[in-house]
Amino acid sequence: MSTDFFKPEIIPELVWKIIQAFPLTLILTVCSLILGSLIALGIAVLALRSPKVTRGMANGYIHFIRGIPTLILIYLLYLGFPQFMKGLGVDMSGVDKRVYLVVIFALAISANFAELMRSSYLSVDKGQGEAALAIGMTARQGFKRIVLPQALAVALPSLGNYVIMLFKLTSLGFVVGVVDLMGKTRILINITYGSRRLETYLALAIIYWALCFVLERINKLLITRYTRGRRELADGKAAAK
Amino acid sequence: MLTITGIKKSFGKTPVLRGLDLSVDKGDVVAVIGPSGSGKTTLLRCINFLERADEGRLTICGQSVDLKTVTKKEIYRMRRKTAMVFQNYCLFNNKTVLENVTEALIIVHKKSKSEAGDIAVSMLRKVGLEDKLNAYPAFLSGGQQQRVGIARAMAQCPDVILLDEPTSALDPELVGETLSVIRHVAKSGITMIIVTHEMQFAAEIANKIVFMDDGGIVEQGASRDFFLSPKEDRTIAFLARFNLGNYYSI
Amino acid sequence: MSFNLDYVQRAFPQILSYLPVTLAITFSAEILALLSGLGIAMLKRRKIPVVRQIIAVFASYCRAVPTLVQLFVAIFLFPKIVTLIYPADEFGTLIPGIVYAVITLGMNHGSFISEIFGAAFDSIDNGQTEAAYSVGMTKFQTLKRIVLPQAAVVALPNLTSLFLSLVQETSLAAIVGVREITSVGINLADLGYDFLETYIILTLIYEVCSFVFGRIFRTLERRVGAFKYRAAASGKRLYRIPVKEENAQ
Repeated sequence: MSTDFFKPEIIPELVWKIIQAFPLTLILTVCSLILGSLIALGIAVLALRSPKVTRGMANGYIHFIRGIPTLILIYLLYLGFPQFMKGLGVDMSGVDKRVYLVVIFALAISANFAELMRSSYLSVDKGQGEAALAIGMTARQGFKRIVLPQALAVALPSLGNYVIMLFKLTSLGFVVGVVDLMGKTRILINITYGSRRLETYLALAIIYWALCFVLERINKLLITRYTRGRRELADGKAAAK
Repeated sequence: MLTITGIKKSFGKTPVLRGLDLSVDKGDVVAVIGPSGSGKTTLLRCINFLERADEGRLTICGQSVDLKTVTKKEIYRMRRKTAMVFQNYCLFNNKTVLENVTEALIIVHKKSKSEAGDIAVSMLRKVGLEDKLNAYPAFLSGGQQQRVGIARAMAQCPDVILLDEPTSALDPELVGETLSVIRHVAKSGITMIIVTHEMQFAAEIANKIVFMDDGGIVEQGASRDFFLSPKEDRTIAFLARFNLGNYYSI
Repeated sequence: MSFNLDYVQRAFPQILSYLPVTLAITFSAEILALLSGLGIAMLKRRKIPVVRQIIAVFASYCRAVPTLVQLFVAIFLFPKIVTLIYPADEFGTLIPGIVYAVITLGMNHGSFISEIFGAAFDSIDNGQTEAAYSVGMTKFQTLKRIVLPQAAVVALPNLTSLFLSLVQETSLAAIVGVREITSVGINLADLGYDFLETYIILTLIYEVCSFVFGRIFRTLERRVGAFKYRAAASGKRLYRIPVKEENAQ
């Protein structure tokens, strides 16, 4: 068997080379996280409003986004949308690829976020907000100090999963040619004429694995912090039994 | 007809049953009372093999097994002689009221669907629920659920019905209807062992009382003697907590 | 506006003719996922020392690494393993991409499904099993008639959303060269720069798929979970007391 067969010893070096592209992956993740949350907030507010029309619109949006593969969304907006605008006489060629990607990933994640916001808000007992009003808080204070922290505690575990999902989703950005972790990996493979494909992809997998591990840790820390009151209550109940 | 000898059971290192003996005659209604943690429920669960006893012998209607070496087959055979009514009802959530009763008749006793249906309807009539045949358990009150539980147990035609605190999970206003059904069953001559905290009720329906504490039987005897002239100090101390004057002054 | 209707008329049937490939990947992967999910869930319950760690590592790999990267790793790793065992054999390099897509997606989803199954089983109250034992049912009967029907209701909503995401993930197979609707669409679009038209067609197909599957699953959820959502049985399960006694009177 040739020594060329599999060289695990070059993986650390590959990891080091690929991780140079991490800043872009991070920027894409953070920016689409922020933009996605804002879009989701709007959708969630629409979904919680009483007129049936707005609720229907919000639900329609959520279903639409959930039904389209992110890969198709990328092609539709990155390639299809400029064509559409060109037809209207607007030239979109000056817009940066990364801006497209941020918007696309933000849209892709916004449906899940909106649904999560809605269900977390609804999961907080109505009495909590009413109790806040009863002791003289304004509606705004009651929401900020009483309802929101509780909703956040409910949302956190799923929120963490969605952030990890978004983080992994950014790996699709390479199809438009940006050099994120995945893009860098493909470049490294091309330079070596595909001779070290397995090692390079393994290096990439290791990077994602490690970074997700860190994200999960952070999420766990946040969960322990935000659910303190609840857990003690639950423990108390268990002890009483 | 049911005898237990030298039954022992521990959870980890904590002994729960310390080798007690019990014998029940046909038609007896035995109430097992005692403080919480005394092993009453465990005793009942061991008879139904929901808990495996560490040692001892169990005999029901001439069939006898060694609890230490009992095989799976023997367990299935012995279980058919008993039926259990659970504290928290444990109706099959995915079955209707009728199906809850017929399920074992069809699956275990291999009765035909229509035969099982007839038996179930007559049992459910006895507990006053013939109008709820097609309802799902989640939509019944606790009292109704427990009455279905009793019907399910009776339908198996067991030699002994075991009731594990049948009313302690019920809201106070629902206890009455359930107790009256049990009273009715007790009068029909079925052998029953009932673990209960309802002292008045125990005094009323049981002909034999067993007082357990700390994994053993402290005192047992005919109901009237037991309540009117308890002999052991622990029994007297326990009974002092309940006001039973009303019942026996009649 | 330059919307090429001519092209749409030509491309739509062409893309649609590859829908069976997309669906084949979806269903094969789902079957593999359900089987491996059940297997992993059962292995987890056994708590065998080394097996447990392997499962944990595999689960974290599936969670943390993007599906596309998993797909690439599988494609380049497997032939090497085959060559390692049979040095002369070319078999490893001959496996088509679609097989890798099915296995990667199937195992990936299997790992998630095992968690759904585990949680569903845990959610069933112990009293349900005990009640079944107490009326004399065997372990198998209890599992089949009491535990599984209830666990299925708990698991179904999660299985549904996982399945819908699987439909979409099959589009990743396009990147590794499988001829399914997405890759056929990409090729057609590149030929004449008809991007907008092509990706609207693809969007439409995926949307319709997830709508239809979503509907089917929701009906299934309602049916299997009747005992949760309905006060009383209906249809076939409705029992009526036979009227023979009344007739005899």
